[in-house]
Amino acid sequence: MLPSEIVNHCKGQCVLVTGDTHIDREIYGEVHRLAPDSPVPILQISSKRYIPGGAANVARNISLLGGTALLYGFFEGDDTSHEILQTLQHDGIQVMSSPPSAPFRLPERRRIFAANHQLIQILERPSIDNYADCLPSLSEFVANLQTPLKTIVVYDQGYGFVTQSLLASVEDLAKERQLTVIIDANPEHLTWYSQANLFTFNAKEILTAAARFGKFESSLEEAGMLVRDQLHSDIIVTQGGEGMTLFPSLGPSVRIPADPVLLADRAGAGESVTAVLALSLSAGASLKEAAVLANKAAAIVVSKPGIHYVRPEELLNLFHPQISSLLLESVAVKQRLISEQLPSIENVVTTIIQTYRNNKTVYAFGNGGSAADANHFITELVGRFLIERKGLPAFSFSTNEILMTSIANDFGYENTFTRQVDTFVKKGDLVVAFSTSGKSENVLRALQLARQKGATTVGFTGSSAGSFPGICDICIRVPSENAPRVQESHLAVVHIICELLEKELMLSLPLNSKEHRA
Amino acid sequence: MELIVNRSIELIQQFSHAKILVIGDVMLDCYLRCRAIDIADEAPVPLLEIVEQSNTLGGAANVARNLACLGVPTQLVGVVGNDIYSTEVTSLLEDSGVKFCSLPTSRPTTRKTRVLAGEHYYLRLDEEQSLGLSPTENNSLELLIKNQMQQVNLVVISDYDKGLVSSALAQFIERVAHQLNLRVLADLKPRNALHWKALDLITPNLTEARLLHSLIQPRNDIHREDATLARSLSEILRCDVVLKMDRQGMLIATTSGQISQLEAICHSPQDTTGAGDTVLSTLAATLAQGASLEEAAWLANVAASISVSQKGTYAVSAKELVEAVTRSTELSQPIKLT
Repeated sequence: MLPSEIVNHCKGQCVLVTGDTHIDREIYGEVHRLAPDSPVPILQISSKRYIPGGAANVARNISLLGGTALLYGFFEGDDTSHEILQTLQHDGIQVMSSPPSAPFRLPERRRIFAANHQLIQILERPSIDNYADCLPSLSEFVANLQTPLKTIVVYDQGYGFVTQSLLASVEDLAKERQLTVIIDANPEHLTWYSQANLFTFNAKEILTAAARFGKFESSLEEAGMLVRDQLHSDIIVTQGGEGMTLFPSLGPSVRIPADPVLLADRAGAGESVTAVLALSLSAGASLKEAAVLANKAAAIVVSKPGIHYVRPEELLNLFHPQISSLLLESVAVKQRLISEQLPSIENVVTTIIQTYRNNKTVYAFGNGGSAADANHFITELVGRFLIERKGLPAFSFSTNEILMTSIANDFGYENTFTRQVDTFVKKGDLVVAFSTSGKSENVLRALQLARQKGATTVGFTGSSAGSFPGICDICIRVPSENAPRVQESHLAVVHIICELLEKELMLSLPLNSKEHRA
Repeated sequence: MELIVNRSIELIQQFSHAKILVIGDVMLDCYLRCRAIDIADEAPVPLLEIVEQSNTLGGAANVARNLACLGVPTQLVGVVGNDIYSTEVTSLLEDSGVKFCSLPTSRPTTRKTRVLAGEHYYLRLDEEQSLGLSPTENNSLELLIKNQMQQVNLVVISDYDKGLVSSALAQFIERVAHQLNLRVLADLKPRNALHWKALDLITPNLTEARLLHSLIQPRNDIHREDATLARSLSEILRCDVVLKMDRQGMLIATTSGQISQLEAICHSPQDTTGAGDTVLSTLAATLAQGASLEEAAWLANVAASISVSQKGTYAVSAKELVEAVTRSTELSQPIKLT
């Protein structure tokens, strides 16, 4: 399957997630002094935020990737867990939670930051012995399911929710319904696991797991092979910045290196990997295809600060890199436009308003794509932009192909616009010229003449600007050398100018005052 | 010596006869006892797991607890947030026998959390919002305080600069205290001491006293001798001063110009946390019986010796105080310096 096919097929896939859910709480503060009773820093807490972690986070990732997630096992013991439950339900996740009266609380992992520097993590792990008594069984939970269930994920952090009896009911359900089982494994529970379709470990866990099987000081490769043989299942080992290694139950291991990204925050990457694996396998991807996609997802997650949820379009972006990079290039030009050209754009707006208040006319022209921009501009003025109003007097010299070809034929192409300027433009009119290079001879000549006749000249051009700065009273210079990018920005600026001047003219002095005000 | 012992025991036995109101910043001290289990997955920092959590009262709530423990019928006025920690504060105060008149506010309950890994104190997390109260909250607070002041014999202010006691509230309390002829004792952060005009007694430690002195007399040399510092503060602020000097004991400067010193009794203190609150509450309990400042300070010094010999924040009971006083043949007599 093509990666983009997998991403599209992920939509609507139904995955059941169970296992350890915790509250991931980030505590931010400032350190300004030491405690008086001992030389330790005092962190003045300024803000806190929390999100669901572990199994709930896997479910949330699945849901935000377009899948349908079911979460079995959640404890609603305080305000925070109540809010998390609501978030999960808001995301469309069906949650099997203990009643709020049950004596169980979610484990909590606090990450404490001074400014952006992480100081310490504190784990709170309340006892959840005999939790099962307060939840209906797994098979009851899925009994009336509308969507066909394809995959079960067990997220085992060792916080106590995953027990041998839970694993047994997962196994029964998987057998009964032919489900794919993925276990995010805990090396301390190896003896509890029977065969599953896929186990995932991180690098530290796989070495611990190998040690539990009696092999100490092994390499990651040796450890992966050993654990794979012992568990008779596919294994994926996630390796942080080094990507992942796949140990298929048959055949040699496969290295999948990480995409080079600037690391921002590794939190939540594990859960995203598990979610993408579960959805991709449900969508019919092979193990390797799923792993490659999950690896890409991890790269996206770690490149964003805080806990980030991968969206399907972000994954698709990766597989249509040229399109997304060209769009980003266009965005970047507009961003530079914001930092460089705001005063000039404002200046054009006020100048056009002044022209109309003096009952004068606006003319525009350009060649090729720039002719289209000129016509577009004039159309917005004579017709209407956003507000119902009378037309504004404006005229394009690039419209009349009979006139243009005739002038070109008889007087030469360089005079196509001068002849028209000479005929129409009067003192006090405004002339707008479009040329990405600022070098078109016919445009330059026409600007020159318009100026001589006492018109105001406005030029739309690119960063090189040619001779425009010398002959234009106001010059909009789009900071790019790339003609298509420049033209896209010209159109954006034209729209902005139309919107602003239309508003201003309607608000203040209407052109034919009485009728307009009514 | 025997005289002072008998007199002290008599005073302690009368503790239950007076009623005291504590006003100030109510806090909760939380202790997270942890063990280090690993290095965190996504950052090179320790991962601690909480083994035990405990909470004790702090700030004005601890002063009130100390008073109640000494057998004084105690009322406390303070603000808490609308959160689970306010419930904890309320229940701890109830267990201590303090009558708590709380004003719920929109800000969080002031909380200091100490993170300990094994015996190693690792980090303190402070959660507070020490901006002043809203005008509505202030009005309710004044009403509450006035009402409570009518029922007591003495007022104790415990101000940790967490925004409760504004300059306006200080003046309000002094006005009501004047009308009701109540004495006001205070433990204050130096910059807030200037809110007050007619306190009867303040109990700064050395650092606070120096800072306070530099605030009111910026150009004066602050490296003066401790006794001169105490006397100077007493003269300028026109109130008695008990200067707490840790291992050096305490200095007592009265408005009449007398200075005396009490040597510290416990020479190997275990933990000085909360000893200041013990001193303040013992002074208040004793003065409320009509005792002299010298008598009150003598007893407070004995109480402090018990408090610092215990780990953690400790509240001394009347019974312990009687025992310590009885055992006190070797206890120091005040040394007159003037």
